[in-house]
Amino acid sequence: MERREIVTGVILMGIFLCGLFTCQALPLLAPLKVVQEYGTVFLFLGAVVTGLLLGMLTPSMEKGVYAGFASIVLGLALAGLILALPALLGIAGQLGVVSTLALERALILAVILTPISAVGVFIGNLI
Amino acid sequence: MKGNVRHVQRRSIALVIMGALAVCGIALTWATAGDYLGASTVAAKFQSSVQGITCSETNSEYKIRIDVNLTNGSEWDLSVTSMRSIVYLDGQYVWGHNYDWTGNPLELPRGSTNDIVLEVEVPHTKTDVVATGGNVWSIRVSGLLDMPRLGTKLFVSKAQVPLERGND
Repeated sequence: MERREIVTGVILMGIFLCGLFTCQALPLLAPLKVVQEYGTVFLFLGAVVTGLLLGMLTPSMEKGVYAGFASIVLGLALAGLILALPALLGIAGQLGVVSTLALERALILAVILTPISAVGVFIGNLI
Repeated sequence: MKGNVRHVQRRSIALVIMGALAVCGIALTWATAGDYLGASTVAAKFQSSVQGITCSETNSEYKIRIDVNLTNGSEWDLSVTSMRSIVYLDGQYVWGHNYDWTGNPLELPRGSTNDIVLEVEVPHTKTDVVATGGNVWSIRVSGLLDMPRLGTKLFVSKAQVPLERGND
């Protein structure tokens, strides 16, 4: 039962983080101005909230940290799929709309976000 | 028993919040991806190509003219802020030149085609390379395209074209 809930939680938070990763990679195309300006801040907050909620799902700190990492990886993979959509749909042209710098930034953020989500897991365990 | 009930309640609350956040994530992704696909379609309808190259000689000074075609088949008004052309002969770098139009960008209204000529003056140190070289030249033309909501994007076109030599 607990395992099923953790997997559900990882999928749900992965979808949530995918939105934030996509907005962070394409800040000028984000629908809300506040997300355009503070995309990275929202991503950091999203990682803390992810850890916190996963920490509330499981009393084990270790499982919570692994679940947080899995959510971040899932979010990043889904965002990568979104960014590759033009190429997958065959509408990629001469111009590269996403810079390689944005992709590198997203990967570095994913590495930084794991310990941040671990802090959220710790807080979630205390609640 | 009481602790177990509290734990189940806490997990249910966490799952409900997670579900709500996932819905927000889907909405955010949907809106951004929609704009992204729109911008990608516009970007795909922009084309740049090298049409030809002419080399003229005046008093042992060479001037290379590169004919470039810029086509904006999209429904957005675009502009080119800068370009750079690099000329190679027999795989060897000859010369390059930057064209900066930041103050007065080259406008490309929707559905328009613009033919431009980029001039490269070959320095004295390279005149021998041009004079003795073959007739198949490689050209690399790159530029920065200013797109609404996306900022400046790099475009590159390469071509191997036969040279037309002339005397001014």
